[in-house]
Amino acid sequence: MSARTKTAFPFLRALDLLVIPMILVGLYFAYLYAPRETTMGDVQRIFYFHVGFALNCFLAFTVVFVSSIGFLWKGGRAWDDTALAAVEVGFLYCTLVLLTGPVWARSAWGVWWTWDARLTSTLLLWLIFASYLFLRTYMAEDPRMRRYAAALGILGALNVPIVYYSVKWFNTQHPTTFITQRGKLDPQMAVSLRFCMLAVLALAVALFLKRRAIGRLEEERDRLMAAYEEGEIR
Amino acid sequence: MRGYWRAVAALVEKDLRLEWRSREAITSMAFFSVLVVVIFGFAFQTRKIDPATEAPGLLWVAFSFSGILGLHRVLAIERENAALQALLLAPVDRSAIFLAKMISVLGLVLLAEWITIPIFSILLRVPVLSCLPELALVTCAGSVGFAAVGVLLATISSGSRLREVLLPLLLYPLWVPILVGCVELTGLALSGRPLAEGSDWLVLLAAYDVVFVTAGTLLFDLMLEE
Repeated sequence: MSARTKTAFPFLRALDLLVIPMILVGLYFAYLYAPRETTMGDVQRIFYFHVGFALNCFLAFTVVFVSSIGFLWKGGRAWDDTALAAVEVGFLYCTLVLLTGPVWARSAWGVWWTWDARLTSTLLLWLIFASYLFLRTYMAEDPRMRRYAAALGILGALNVPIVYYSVKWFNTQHPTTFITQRGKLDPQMAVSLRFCMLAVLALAVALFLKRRAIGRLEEERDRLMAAYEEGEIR
Repeated sequence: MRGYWRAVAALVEKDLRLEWRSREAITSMAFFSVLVVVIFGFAFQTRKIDPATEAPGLLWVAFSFSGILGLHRVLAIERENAALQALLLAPVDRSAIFLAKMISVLGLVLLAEWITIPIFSILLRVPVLSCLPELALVTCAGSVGFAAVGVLLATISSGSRLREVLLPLLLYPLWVPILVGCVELTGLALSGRPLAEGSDWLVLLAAYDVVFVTAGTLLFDLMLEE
């Protein structure tokens, strides 16, 4: 095991000690500290995590875009590990957005799902990155798989701005992001929202770093396997 | 630059000549597309379908399915006898190969679509004569994006043992935004309204076409390296 990989593990474990309490405090903020919303009631509390998942999902897919270009341009497996780790975290968060959203929509709009621009485009993003994971699984044996995945990662991530701006471009029922409009949100709600977003970001970073560490281990395994087959080591 | 386009033209001519001799792709695509229309006709129990909402959706489902066949075929002719390796040895820029494949697929897809439209019109009693120019414009705008992203993804998936399964899985999610635009615009055309009412969708289609053609041209070379 290389020295870099070895030193990464205590750090990643220490990160857990930061992230787990942050999520717990985030839950406290969302469910107990934040006041009850007058019109929507308790179901509005979903929003504290929902927004964090959504924004960090976009962030993850931006990382996919940059690291996929980096891989095609510069080469090197580290770029690919970064892209894959970001896709997995982004895909998980996208799934959570699509699970938490309908729970709120059921109570606010009366339906689980509607073919609204923001919802549809988020579902599309989920499908695109599901197909990215399919590609990696189906073509795992192909030496060109990483390059193919990078191309798909770039094409997929090009859809992120469309998803983000879909609320502005088309008339949708989805509430706009009111984080940017200061003063409209109750101060206790604003604090809760900001803390939850931070906690969700910390969780994303921790998961991302761990997935990258796994990627490095896989790389090392492949290198050792190749050396073993060539008879260099026994 | 003239040499570049001459190479593209020569490659397109080669693909279309091969296709003209066998007519395998176009017959299977057009037949399959008509078959999808007929299946819808049976499924809707010969009820008159609404030209503004149901007809465009049905048409584009048929086009999405049959287009996949054309993509498989245009890439398969290069796989047989390792023709792709010979093609890669040709002293032309790789992007010329991409553009040529894209234009060949575009030709096949458009032809299959234009064969399907009159049959669809007769079988499902949706009048199309008054809006043929609009339909031609929408099918062109939509099929350029389909061909561009399709050729890139078919090149990627053709390396896989499961290519027939993988291609639609990769293609359809990326194709959906264009599909939505095409359905909206076809709906306008079939209900006799001007396409200008859907100018946002036209802009979206044009934007996706430009993005996919550019991305395909830039990425294609990297997908072929061993």
